[in-house]
Amino acid sequence: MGSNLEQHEQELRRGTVVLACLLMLRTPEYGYQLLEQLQGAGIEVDANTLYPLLRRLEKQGFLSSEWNTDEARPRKYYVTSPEGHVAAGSLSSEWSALNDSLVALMERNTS
Amino acid sequence: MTTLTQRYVHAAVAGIPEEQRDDVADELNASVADAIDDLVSSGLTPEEAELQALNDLGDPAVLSERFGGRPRHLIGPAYFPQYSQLLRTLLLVVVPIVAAASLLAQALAGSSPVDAVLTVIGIGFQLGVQIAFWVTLVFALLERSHTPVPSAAWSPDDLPEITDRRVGLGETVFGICALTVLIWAILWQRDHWLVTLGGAEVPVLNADVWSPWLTVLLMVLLASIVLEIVTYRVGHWTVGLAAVNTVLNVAFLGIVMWLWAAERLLTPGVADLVPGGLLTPLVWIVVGITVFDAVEGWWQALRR
Repeated sequence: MGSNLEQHEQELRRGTVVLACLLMLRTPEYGYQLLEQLQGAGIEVDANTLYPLLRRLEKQGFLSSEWNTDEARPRKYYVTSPEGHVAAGSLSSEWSALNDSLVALMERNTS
Repeated sequence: MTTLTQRYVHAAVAGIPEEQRDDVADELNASVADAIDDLVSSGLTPEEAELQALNDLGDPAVLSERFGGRPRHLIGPAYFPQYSQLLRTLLLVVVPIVAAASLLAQALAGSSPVDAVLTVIGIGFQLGVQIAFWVTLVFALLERSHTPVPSAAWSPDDLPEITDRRVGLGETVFGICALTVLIWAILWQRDHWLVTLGGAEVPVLNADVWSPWLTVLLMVLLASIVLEIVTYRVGHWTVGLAAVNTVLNVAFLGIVMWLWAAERLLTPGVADLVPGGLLTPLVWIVVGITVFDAVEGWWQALRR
């Protein structure tokens, strides 16, 4: 029972991670930093989900990446590409529409 | 001495396409190091921090799969429909055909029915295992080569017809094979399954009743084969077919039991060679199978 609910919650969150990444990476960040930032912003995501997701989004052209070797520890920085910005806009309106619909449903059921 | 992190990264990038492997490994190393630094600054020892960081990342095989490495299943959902379809078709078509062909070949070569049946079972089993192995191997390799699936779009036209077929090809083929082997065994024992009795070589079944009773028995068995084919063509048991089936079964059992009761079925003296108490259960098994077959026909016919 509890684990079923947990699974539904995870599924709800899963789709939002992509949008959160695209929005957050309007300024370049590296993997661990992004993980911390997302968690700080209240977006729960596991490292073993986020790191592969970044590569997938890069492969799809929504992110671009660059190795920064200036510091002692070389890190791969990701940033939202122009295509990613367009995708973020469209996903954002989708999210707003969904949110409006669900809020309307919630209100109808309580009144 | 390799560190836990090195071992973890090595495991996590295994199976990732060659050209990305180093890049993923470098990034993962940096990410783990960042996590360790963070945990150390929050008060853990470096050893505890490393364990914690790797624990947080979880099973490297899962991570590897998410990075596009080796899938953690043999055949995934993309290929499974084609895989199971092909495997089922091959097993249901090729194995019966080859089994029937090799049974025929054995018959023409004049080998004993027992040897033939054992050989056919062996061939069928080996062929089935081989087909299953090679088909599975090919699909498992396709799964791992990231080949796109050539699947046609589904349309309602693809829906299979609902047929009234209740009698499957499998049970028909099995029935015909069993009857054929029985006929063949009766014919074959006459000249080949000889027992030395009092200095003379005699067949097991009494040669004195060959005409007419064993001949009639063979006719009944031949008619049973025809009945199997007709039942398959009709597709289901009807009252008429069940009645004919019962007549044939009663005729078969009647002849066998009557000869048996009159101690004329086996060549006189042969029964004494069999260890005591072995023949009676054998007769009851024959009775059981025959009665079951007759009743099953009615059951299938009346259930509709």
